[in-house]
Amino acid sequence: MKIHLLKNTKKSKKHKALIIMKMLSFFLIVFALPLNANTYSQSKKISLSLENVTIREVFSEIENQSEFDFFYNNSVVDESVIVSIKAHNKTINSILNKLLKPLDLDFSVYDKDILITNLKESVENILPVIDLITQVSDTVRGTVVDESGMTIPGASVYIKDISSIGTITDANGKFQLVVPNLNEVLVISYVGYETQEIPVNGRKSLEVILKSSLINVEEVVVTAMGISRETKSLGYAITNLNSEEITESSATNFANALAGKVPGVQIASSSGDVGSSTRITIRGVTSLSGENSPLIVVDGIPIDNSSRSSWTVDWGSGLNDLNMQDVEEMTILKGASASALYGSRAAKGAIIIKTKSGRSSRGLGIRLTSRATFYKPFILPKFQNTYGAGYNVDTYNYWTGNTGGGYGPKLGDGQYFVQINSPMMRDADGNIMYDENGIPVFQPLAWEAKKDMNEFFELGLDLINSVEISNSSDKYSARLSLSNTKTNGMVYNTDYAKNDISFSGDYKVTDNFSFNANVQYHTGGSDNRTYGNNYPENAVKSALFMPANYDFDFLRDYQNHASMGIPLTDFVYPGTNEGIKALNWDRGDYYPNPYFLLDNKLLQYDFSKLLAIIGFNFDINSWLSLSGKIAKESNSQVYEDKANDGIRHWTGSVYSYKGFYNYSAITMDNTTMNFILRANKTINEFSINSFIGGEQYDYIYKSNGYNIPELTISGFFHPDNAAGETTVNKYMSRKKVNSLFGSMEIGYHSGLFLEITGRNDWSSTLPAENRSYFYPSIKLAGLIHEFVSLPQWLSFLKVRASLAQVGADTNPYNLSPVFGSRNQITGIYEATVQNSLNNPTLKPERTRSWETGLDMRLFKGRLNLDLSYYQSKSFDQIMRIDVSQTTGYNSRYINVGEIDNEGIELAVTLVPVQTTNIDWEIVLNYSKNKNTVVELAEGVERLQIGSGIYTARSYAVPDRPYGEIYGYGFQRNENGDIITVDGYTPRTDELIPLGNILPDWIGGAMSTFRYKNITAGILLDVRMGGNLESATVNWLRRDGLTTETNVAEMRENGVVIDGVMNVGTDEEPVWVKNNISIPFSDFLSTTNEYYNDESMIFDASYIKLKELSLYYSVPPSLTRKFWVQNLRVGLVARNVALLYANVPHIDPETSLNSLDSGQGWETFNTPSRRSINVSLILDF
Amino acid sequence: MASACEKDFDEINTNPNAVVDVPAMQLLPGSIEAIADRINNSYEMLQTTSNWIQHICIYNSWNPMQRFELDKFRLSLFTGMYTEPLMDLNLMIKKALEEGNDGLYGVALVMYTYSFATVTDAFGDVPYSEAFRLDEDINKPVYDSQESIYQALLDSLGVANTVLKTSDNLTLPNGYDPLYNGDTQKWRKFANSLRVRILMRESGEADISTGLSQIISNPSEYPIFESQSESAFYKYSGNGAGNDYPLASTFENSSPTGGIRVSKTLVDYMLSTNDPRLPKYAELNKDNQYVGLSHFVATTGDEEPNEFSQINADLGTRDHTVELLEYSEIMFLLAEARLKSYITAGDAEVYYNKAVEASCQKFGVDPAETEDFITNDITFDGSPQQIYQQKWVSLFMQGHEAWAEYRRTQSPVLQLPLNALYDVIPYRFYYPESEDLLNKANKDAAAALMNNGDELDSKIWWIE
Repeated sequence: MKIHLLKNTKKSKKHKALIIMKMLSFFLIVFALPLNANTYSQSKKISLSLENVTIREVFSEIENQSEFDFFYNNSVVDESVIVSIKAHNKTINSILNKLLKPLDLDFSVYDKDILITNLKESVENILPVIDLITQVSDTVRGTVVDESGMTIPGASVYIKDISSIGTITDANGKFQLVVPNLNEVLVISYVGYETQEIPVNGRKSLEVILKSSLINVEEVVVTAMGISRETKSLGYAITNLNSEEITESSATNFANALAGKVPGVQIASSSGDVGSSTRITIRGVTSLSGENSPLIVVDGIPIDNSSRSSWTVDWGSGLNDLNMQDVEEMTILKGASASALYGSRAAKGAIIIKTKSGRSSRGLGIRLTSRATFYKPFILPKFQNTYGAGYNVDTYNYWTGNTGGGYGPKLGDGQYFVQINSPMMRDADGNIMYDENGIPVFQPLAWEAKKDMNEFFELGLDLINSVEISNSSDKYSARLSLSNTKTNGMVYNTDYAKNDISFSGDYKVTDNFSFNANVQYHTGGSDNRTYGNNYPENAVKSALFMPANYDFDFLRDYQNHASMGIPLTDFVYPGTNEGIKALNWDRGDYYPNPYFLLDNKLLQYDFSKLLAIIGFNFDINSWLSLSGKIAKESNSQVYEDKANDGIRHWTGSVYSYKGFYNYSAITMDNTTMNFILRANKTINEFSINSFIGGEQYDYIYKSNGYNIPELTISGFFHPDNAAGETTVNKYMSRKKVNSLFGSMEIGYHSGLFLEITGRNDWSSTLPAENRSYFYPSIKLAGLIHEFVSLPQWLSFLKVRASLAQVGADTNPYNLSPVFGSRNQITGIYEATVQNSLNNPTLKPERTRSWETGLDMRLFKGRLNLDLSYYQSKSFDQIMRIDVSQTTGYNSRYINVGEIDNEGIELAVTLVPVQTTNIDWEIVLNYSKNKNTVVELAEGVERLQIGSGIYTARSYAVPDRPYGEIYGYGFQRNENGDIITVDGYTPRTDELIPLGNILPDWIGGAMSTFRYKNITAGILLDVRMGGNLESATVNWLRRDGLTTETNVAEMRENGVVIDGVMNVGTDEEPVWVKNNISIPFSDFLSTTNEYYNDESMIFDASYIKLKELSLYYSVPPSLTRKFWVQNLRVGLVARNVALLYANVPHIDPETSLNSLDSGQGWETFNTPSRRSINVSLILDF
Repeated sequence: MASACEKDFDEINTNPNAVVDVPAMQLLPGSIEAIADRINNSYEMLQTTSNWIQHICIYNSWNPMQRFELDKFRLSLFTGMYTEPLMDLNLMIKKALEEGNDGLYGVALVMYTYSFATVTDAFGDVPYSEAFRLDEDINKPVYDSQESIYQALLDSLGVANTVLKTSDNLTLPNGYDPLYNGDTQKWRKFANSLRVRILMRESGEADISTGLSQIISNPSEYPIFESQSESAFYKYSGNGAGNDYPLASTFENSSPTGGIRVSKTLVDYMLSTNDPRLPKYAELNKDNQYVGLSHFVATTGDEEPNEFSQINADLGTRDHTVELLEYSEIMFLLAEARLKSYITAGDAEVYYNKAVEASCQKFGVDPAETEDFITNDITFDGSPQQIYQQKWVSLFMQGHEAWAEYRRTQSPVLQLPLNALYDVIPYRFYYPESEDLLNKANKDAAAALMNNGDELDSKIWWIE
């Protein structure tokens, strides 16, 4: 209900706000107001003479002449109706009778407040009230003031236990109330103040002082199914971020903006690549089989957020497509309780995004935003620059020594060797000189340190410019936003660009029927991205492993080497690759020239997303409304992998250098339709908020592509140019879920809320007998302070508890067995039994959880605590479990397994200073989740989740937390000393536990400090516990490239490993300290080499100074003359410092990608970004 | 309401990307390719078996497989055989029976037997009777003794011989039978030749003379290969889409300064016999000589490029033809059988000469050169050792078979490589790591029956 207030007199902003509050209260009790005789309205005489003016102008004129205030609902009074009126010294009643009756409007006068209503409605509503008046006997008058003596207009005053008899205070804080007798108790309440009960005790005049509760209890959030709720009524924990909190973090995507800010939510960035993805896990891992990302909901419509990451390239995820500028607020629903209504897809939590609408600005609003982010790597490995390439500290042979990264001779010692940049020697006539074998003679060059990793990583730039235009009136609202993003990666020749356009609008067709629409279109892509993981195509890996005597400038210039007299390296490999030339492929297949790679192996990406939501709202009557939506999300993604001659790639059976083209086009179409019938009614002290609804979700995925293993002409990427057989891929899947759901929340005295929800899903992915499944939730929230008198320092105390179950279905086509086909040969269908056995008796998965929590505000809101405890149990999981391959299958689908989570979340808000000029707020959050894999399938000892570069893998193991890392380690004796044999360290015979990928706890600390127009913020992000494998650290050490390998003594004289050796027998060992020296390169390789995973595993804990920000709002007085209402400039630094970490050389906040299987593994990732962001926001 | 909510669901959840059912013949080409892939991959053929029996040698003395250090989890022979060709062939047998297609049934039995023999020869006792019965909820098949599996395999080949005898040629689209293009009589020869191999393999543990004589003395009832061209050869399509000879990659990417070389043991032996196949096996080194890489000397990484002979590139083309079972091998086996009087028909020397001749023929040696070689360089001396030695030479690039026959005969005498972890050349592969996780009790029971548990030097049944 929209209430319009007319008052042309200039009032302070604060006063205006009070009037709005007053009106809200007014409406709450309006049905019950007595039509008492009113002296002012009878005595005040008004004169008017107006012709052809709007009715609104008439009201204004009356307000100007008198103390009357008009109140009405916009849906009732059409302000634009043109009227003419003449009156001389008439009472308000006679004027309004004449004016309003022809318009089918009625009015009621309450002292100086005039309520205009619909004629029909008012009769209905007012009649019962009249009955009450007959009982009245006495009038109590009074004034309501706050602690400082200021009057409080709009406070509600009613008789205890007879809330139907009441009134509100006028603009001067005064009230008069007709009471049955003078022994009643009056209840006086006002938003933001503590409710008071005053026994009248025979008095006819009272002064009531209301104490401020300093709390914004009317905080409203968007919850499941897009329903707005007051936070206070929720029986579960919820976290809400507004648009500023998201956009001002200058994070690269939504998910990163959440880091460190939301208790219970773990954010893990994968790498610093352009458009890379981020993993979000809410309250721990609950699914053993699928992925554990939350559902993303935009304006009530779930959208696709499936990861586009693969083992080799991180293409991002659906969340990357959206425009952060369009977001008004983001709500994180954590437990099953919060998300129970979204069903299956929200079993892992949900992130609810509400986009901005034109309603936020009254009249034309224009905002221009410009953000520029500059970035460089956050943490780079520390390289030694003392020793160059080779295997031998004494000499270097260019032709054989290049795979030995850093065991070579000392640099800068005046030595000369033939090196990568050596030109061919020429005689006096300019002819190439040859040796006796006919091989050109190369010129030895000075052996010097040249590698500088900072040269390889360029200055990255993100540029985001956007325009937002919005406008609204009573009939319509509209908002248009345009945004352009342009990113140049830190890695040479990588980029990302995106354009967004979105329109949202609504239109009120009649008083009770409106349409709304939100259409967004996002399109963009990359001309090239980096290839990741342990592949020779990974340019970052290649660069990291360049020996210290290599020069990136020289490598970048590879196309000019021939003219410098440096020959192209010829392939001398036999077979079909003979004769192909690649530039500087001189470190073998595994470390190609990174610039050659980045120029000739292109990973291209194009996407577009169209999200169109069209809805209506129909107010059937004052408490019942029907709304419906139809939404279409269309995603189109094209991935291209293009290789020119000289790039090594796997064709499926051989490595080839003869070009390659892979094309893959994916479309994903979601259609969602829903309707919701909502009933909101207050009956005496009970409020009822309820709805029922239905939804249909239809998801269609299609992929089409082809793979050309080799090309005839290099650089032409087209099927016509295929050498060998083109493989064609086609896949399509579809899933449909129909649902019915309902919710009822009953509030008592605005202090006790009970909510019950239920949802039934019918999923096409499950067998007929199991495809319908129901899940309920029950939630209770109690505001203790509303019922019990608490000590003065404790102004707000809420307890909450909830219990819920969520069901989940599976992917399409997991039920009946089908055949697969082996590699394509034209004309032959090589059928093969699918390696996984499907299961026609699958049941839905279940997660059952309960939580309880406490929300308290102390010392007038200066200290707020929000504490949650939860437990969840996920069972009947649909898992593809491995079976002995002797069954003929690798795996089969069954319902099995249980995974439990238990945790606490704590958020503390401190407001040490709050004055007109200074605000200082500190928010601390902490969350600890204890995860236990309770059971896997019978006889399955562990279930693999992911795997590292060698033998280490992550597993789900019963009675242990999800993500146990197993691998080979050092053999140790009973004292835990490392065993050496002949100076070397043998590895264990079996895989042993080496750690776990999950953190023990995560937390954050945020502080914002405002002095007048300047706001400064700081954010710390904390992760404690858990492990990761870093192949980067391990390999760089192995190759003798990092600073800790820069030990002359070891390089020259060998190493005695700190361990023990057995001088007894195998049966009766006698351990003494190892004294056998081994060569340095052997030491590095045996302790860091293949087959020993332990030396790669590190503690993943960190404390990061994640963000420092400074914003300045230029005072409007300075900007107005340029038509600028608001001008805000900001400076934000992200990933400022790593304050604590136990892994050297890399940022511990990293993973291969955002998939479950990618967690815990750092394998030559592009380093994460350290960035500086400059932003400018202009509002017109 | 419920029914309205489920409208079209069955149709929606019908997989449009895969066929629900296929006739038996569709399972044949993939199975054969899968078998060929399994026994010709880099890890389980070149780097282990061919390396262990010193046909090839790998640069870098620390190469773990050279000294018998093997990662259990990398072994895909076991898992790959069960999930791919065997599972498909098991189904193909059932389907061919249902279809009443005797010829296809016989073909499936032959390939099934061939695959199972490869698995049990490499590992010993393996699941047989309870394998492929997940639909009956048997998810942990017991391990059967190799002896009983061998009996079952021989029985299957007997059935195959019978059903193929009475079957007309198969009518299959082009390419569906890459071995014999539907010729059931050739399949029958393959079946009986395979029977010869299996019988000879168990000759140290079982009395095979009756069984073997039955075959050799009655060629019309038990025809076997009569020429090298009747051998079971599989030619890869080489179309670049995953249908290339799996080792082509090793060849194409073999580096002048590292990687795989022909073994010094083999090169030296062939040089000593003036073997005309040497140029077909090996490339010349940088000095235009045949120089093998030694298993007994450590390489340092500082060797000159192409110091040692690479494998002849002709053996590594993408459309290479690989041997499943060749005539030459059968002749070697019969020479041995005749020498040991398992059979009385024929003459050992004739068999021996035919064996060598067929092998040389396959490698494209000039017939005159072959004759000269047989007559002058490797004249039959009547010893089984000579047969074993020549068979070892002829099985170049057939690592699994060469390794099996080396284990059976312990010939030729091979010196242990540098830093060997065992004091014998491995008798078997480890069971795969996955069985530790998924079928441990049965696997452990099988391991406990061997003299040294699940180790590389535990003897499997047919090793004397």
